[in-house]
Formats: sequence, C-alpha cells, structure tokens
Amino acid sequence: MAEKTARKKAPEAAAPELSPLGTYQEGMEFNPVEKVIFERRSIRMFKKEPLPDSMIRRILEAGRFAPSAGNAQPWKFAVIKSPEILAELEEDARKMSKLFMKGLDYTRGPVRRAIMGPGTRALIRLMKNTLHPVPFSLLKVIAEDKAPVFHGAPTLVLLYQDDRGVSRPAVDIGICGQNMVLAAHSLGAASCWLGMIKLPLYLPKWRKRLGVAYPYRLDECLALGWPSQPADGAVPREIQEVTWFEGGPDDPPRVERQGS
Amino acid sequence: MNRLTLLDRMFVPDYTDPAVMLTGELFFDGEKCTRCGLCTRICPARSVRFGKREGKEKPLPELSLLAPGITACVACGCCLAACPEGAITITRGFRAGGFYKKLTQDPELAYPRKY
Repeated sequence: MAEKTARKKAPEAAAPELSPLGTYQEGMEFNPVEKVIFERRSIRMFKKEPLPDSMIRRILEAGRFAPSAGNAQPWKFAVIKSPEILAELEEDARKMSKLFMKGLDYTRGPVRRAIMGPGTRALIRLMKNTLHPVPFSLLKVIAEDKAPVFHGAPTLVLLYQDDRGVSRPAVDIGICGQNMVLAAHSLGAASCWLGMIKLPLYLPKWRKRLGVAYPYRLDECLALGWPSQPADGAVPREIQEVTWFEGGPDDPPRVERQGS
Repeated sequence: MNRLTLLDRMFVPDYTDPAVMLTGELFFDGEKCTRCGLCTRICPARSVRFGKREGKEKPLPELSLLAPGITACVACGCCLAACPEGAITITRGFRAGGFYKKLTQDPELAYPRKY
C-alpha cells in the first residue's frame, strides 16, 4: 500500500549539504542536478509578472543545446508573452473542450451513456493517448469551467517539432523541453508541460497564426513564470519492476523493484 | 510478469466504473492542516475542494468526485509537495484497468531513493 507517513517539510537550516558534481559514492546525498530533477514539480500557479526576457533566453539556450538524433535539432521555438493572445488562446481552448465534451462525454446521465457510450469507447481505443482517462477527465473539468487550460501563465514557449528530423523527432522535442524545464527550475522559475495547446490548434485560425504547417507540428508547449507560491518538492512515485539481464545468455533475467 | 491479454486489449474501461478505474485517493491530516487552501488552488484538475462545513470548525480539504467512487486525482503529488504543513498523503495511486492496465508498475509509491 501507499506510504502512510506524510512528510513534514524539513526546516531550511536542517537541509543536508549537497554532493559535489562529478562524484559518486553509494548512498550519498543528491547533488544539485539530482535535487532539481527530484524536486521539480509541474507548477500551475504563476505570478502575473513574467520572467525577464534575458531569463527566458537563458532557458531557451538549455533547449538549443539538447541532444537530438543525428544532431538534427528538429525544433522551432516561439515565445508568447502577449496577455491578449494568451487570453484568446485560453478562450478558444475552452471552446474546443466544450465542443469535444458535447460530442464525447458519455458520463453525464443514463441517456447520454446509452447513446454515446459505445461510440466514445471505440474512439478512445482509436485515440488511446488523446482520450486516455486522465486527459479525458481534465477536458471534462475544463469544459465545465472548473479548471483553467493555461493556468494564467504569463509566458508560453511553443515547442514545434520538425517532422523531417532523424529517427523520432517527438523524442527530441521531449528531451529539448525537459532541458529547458530543468534549467528553469534550477533558476527559481516555475514551469509546466502543457499538451492542451492542441485544443486551439483544431481551429485553422490558430494553425495559421502560429505557423503550424508542414514540416512543423505543434503538440506541446511550456508554461513559464514565477511561482506564486513555493511548490517544488519531492513526491512519491510508483515502484518500477526493472528487468536486469546480467547472467549468461541462457540465464533468465532478474526483476528488481526499483525504488523500494 | 504481468501481460496485456487479448481481452485487456479489447476492453476499454468505463471511466466512471470504480471496479476498473482506481483513481487517486488522498489523506488530509486534520491535525496538521491549517486550512490554508493552497492544495485547492494548486491541483491541476482542481479536484481538491474544501468539504462541507459541519459545526464551527473550518472543514478539511477533500477530493471531489466525478462519479461515485471516481476522483479526478492522478496522484501527481502537486498538493503534497506544496503543502507547507506536510498534511497530505497519497493513499492510492491512479490505475486504470483493461486496455490501460499497468504492467511493470507496483501500486506501492516510494520517494526518491539515494542508491
């Protein structure tokens, strides 16, 4: 079962000294890079005031130097800071979520369930990632005006993927964005990956305005800003069964519970 | 090891059926919680709300339900990481069944470990 002991946050003074970079000893304290990795949270509460442009450039620089297959660097970035454009994106994303939920949400009442249930579930199987239960319930709360789409972030960094990259450009975009996210948190900024940028892009006007046309694809963006409350911190995650192939070629692999 | 059977592959769970959708559950420690409401604002799905007031005391936060036995909590931990009092614990992670069944993840949750 899940860990029952809630963790009281350690007072600042008691924080252990971090390990130096470039060294390893078994069981040693985390180093500053690991600290950022483990304590980074997707933050969705931003101050109105945006990060200074120089800081946004510094974060973009971490993306520019991300590893990519064949050094193809299959990315393009755009920074949206205009409050008017951000508000318009939010409004159109919400409109689209309402439209989709009108056609897909079979969970409201027995009549809708009877009529729409089978069709929606067939569509879920076809669009298994987009209509996964998690984004499905998020779309539902967005459509009900209970949750924001872009969380009032003062800046969005759009991560366009160049479809002509090497191997799997989507992987490169993930690596590139995570570089930026980690850099952002190491600088004291807050960030959040947002896939809901896909919602307004169902409207041709946004595809045109944001330049989403072949060879560019836009599936992800990053919200950047100052956290309105300190919210980074470690959280528990599922224990992973890791397969270790370590004996001879005929030995069965060993399964280890990573993290337990 | 766990496998995705042919039946699993065909079976898309009903998102409101608690038998196949184990959604996240949280425990709010009433003694530590100061009712500051940070968790209600930080939840990505806005699924944490203050409960109904009973008597004089300000109610504890709780997870709102999308359907009986179904929350919008995915056990992301944003609320517990942000809670200044350490009053929140994840008591159940998010696990869907059928087509979305997890295969190599143990339901037990653990903090980062210093190997």
